[in-house]
Amino acid sequence: MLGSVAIAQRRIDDYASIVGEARIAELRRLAAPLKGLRLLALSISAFGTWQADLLAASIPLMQDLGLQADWRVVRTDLEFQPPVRSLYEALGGLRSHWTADQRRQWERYSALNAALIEPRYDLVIVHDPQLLGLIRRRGEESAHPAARWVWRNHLDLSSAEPSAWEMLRDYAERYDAAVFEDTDFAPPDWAGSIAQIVRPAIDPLGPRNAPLQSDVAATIARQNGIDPDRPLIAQISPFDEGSDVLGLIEVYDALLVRFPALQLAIIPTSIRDDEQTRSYFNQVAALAAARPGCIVLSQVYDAGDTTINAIQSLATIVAQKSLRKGFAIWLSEAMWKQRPIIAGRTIGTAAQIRDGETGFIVPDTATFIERAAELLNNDARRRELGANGKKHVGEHYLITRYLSDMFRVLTGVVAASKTR
Amino acid sequence: MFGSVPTTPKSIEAYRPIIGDARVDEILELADKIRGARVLHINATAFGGGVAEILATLVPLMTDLGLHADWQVIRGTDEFFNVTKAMHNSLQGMLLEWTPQMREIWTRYNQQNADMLDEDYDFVVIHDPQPAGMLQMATQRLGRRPAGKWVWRCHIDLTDSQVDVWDLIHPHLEPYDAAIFTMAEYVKDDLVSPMLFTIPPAIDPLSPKNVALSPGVEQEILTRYGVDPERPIISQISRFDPWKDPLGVIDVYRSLKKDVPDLQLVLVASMASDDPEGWAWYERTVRRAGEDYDIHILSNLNGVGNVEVNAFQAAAKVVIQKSVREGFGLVVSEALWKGRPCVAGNVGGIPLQILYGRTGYLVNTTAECANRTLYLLQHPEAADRMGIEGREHVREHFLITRYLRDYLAIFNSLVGNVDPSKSPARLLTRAGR
Repeated sequence: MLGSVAIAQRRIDDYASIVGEARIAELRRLAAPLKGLRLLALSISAFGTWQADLLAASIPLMQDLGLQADWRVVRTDLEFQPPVRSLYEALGGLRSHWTADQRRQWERYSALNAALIEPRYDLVIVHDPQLLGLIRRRGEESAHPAARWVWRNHLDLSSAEPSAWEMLRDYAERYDAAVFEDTDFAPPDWAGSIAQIVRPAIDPLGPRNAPLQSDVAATIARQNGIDPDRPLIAQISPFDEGSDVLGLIEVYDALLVRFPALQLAIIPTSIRDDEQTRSYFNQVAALAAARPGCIVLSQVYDAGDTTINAIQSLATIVAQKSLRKGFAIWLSEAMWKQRPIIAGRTIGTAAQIRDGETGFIVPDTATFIERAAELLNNDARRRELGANGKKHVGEHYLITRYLSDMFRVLTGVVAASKTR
Repeated sequence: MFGSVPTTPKSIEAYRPIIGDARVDEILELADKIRGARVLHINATAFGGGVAEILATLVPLMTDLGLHADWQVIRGTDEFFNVTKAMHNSLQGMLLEWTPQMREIWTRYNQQNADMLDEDYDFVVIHDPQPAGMLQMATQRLGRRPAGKWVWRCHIDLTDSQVDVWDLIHPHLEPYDAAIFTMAEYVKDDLVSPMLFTIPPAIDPLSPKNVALSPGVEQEILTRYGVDPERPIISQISRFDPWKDPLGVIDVYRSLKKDVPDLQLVLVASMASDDPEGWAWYERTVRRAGEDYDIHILSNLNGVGNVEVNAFQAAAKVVIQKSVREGFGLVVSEALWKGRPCVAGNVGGIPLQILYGRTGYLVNTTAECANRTLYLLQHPEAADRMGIEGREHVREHFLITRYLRDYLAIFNSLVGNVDPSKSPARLLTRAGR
């Protein structure tokens, strides 16, 4: 049996107050052809990733809209963790070796898990590229031949290591639909089913985004050493060398001369427990220790959703200094809280941030400093960007939009199978 | 040396309204005798875990009291931390292969860290076995003992240590001026130390996990997680493993549901990201819960942090800690501090925190746990009364200020300011353990 995940109960009607009755009605219309379908979502982990957050928010809403949606997590083992991690790194272009030995282990892992999928689903959605091999039993009588398979990919595969991607390609091309977070995330030689784009989204009613009363946010900020009455730049994102926190501290130092009350908060939402990240963290910690206005929430697992919500809500500017791959959907969380953003240019920031309207996309540290100074000096401009940001996210990056998009994809897949 | 861990400044005066003048003044007096002393804490991680949590409060409080307190983390690479993880497990009784290579790695990194020690301190506190070799190695390098008093602070239970690992670290422990354990029961029989103390762990009443939340905040959090603040709640916050018995907690809830139909259960799992065993137990627990939406299974890995834990403890009618094996079980004090009665396994340090029938109940079986919890659910006045006494018990014994006082008393004993046998920190004698 595959692993079960705790699913909360959620009601789509609760979202009407945010997106309006019309959107909810449209969503119900889109869900209607899928009603009663047995859907299985498969992922590698039950939590700790943005994909898992999205599943945790969307699966109960799918259930409420009439689909029989299940979420299962594949089985793993200490033995499989290293090859699966290597595959992830190779697909992200971070590692250049993908060995025949690792491939054998991955095949075995895929076969073991494929055998655990119960043959009772109409739709199977695979959420991680490392799981593409689970489709291997499709077509076998016992594997419920009627099932349609969708690959919902969240990784940027544009620079995937060829040896790793070639292994997956044969499997990937067997899927009825492939869904990417952005056009540019598809592998360069993609020749499978038409690549569809479904951008990620945030849950406006989840603990991380639901509005906090201002005194609650201020209390929580104070508990974490942040003065809610002083200006604050915050970077809240996964933490590794790529997050360029050192660069952000450089920005802070430059701004501090002109804004002596300025604070900087670095809130890691996850930290990889490996040598490189640890040593990077230690470097950051040492710099922060010498700067009284610089706060690093080092005990990562203790800063939960409510704390992150509070700090996002109070920040004067939310920063994303890094040129991180992937979508950086947490920027939409900050925009939803009417915060102006300053970020480096990546696929995800270009999609989410309207440069000059909801924040700034900057090419280098010097421009970063300049834009930040501009915003720190101009309250009205910050409010304007914040208001635009909330409107933008409300239209494009809420979970309801994500569900609409997914329902369109799934309906297409189901319809195609009927005409075949 | 190797870079300090940043901490948020804290003030002892902020604790005066909580613990009263006499206790604050006792601390000020002890601190005054060693004013200006340079104190260094060294441990293995700034990232989390109980030791880091305590140091994050203790170190800034020592600074506030006029000591020059510093917290540093030993340097190491994956090979070292893999070995220390194995060492940690094996000192707590897990059977695993301990190779000469592992020995060499531990020794080499302790040597490297000792080599980086380039300042003098008045007190050096080495936490846990990972950096325990540093004193002897610094002594060898310098050709003399490094300055100051050296204290080994052991947070784990050593009584079931595997022999080969114990044999490796044991000789490194004897040169310390003192050793501090969490409970007398944790001390290994053959450990010889000039002074042996116990300091039980403690909670910080002002930390986000323990500070009083306004009813608005509490309700807000419960609602966001789909928990109904108007209906009764029982909760357990723990790792998910056989020793914390999350399956038993679900059984308890099920058997109570007949008598208390609107009961809700909140289970919060503390998990590590790469721990297949923890995941297996999480998953088993989810399956045991089935499709009962009144059971809320949450985890630190999906956004439940200190503020949320605070709310789930404070909002519970009864907090459960159904351990069948336990270290100190400080989570019990967290619950008592919030004025909630606690029903918990009669193991480890839990009996020190739960006074039977006064701050909660100690139980040995699932049936007992269910009976006692039901009694408290049906007798809210008794539950509240126990909650109040529980809070007083914690105020007296398990707050970080008491912990701080014990450290200050030990430092004073080490420099001859206080007679160790009259120290407020408990000194163990051979006969006394």
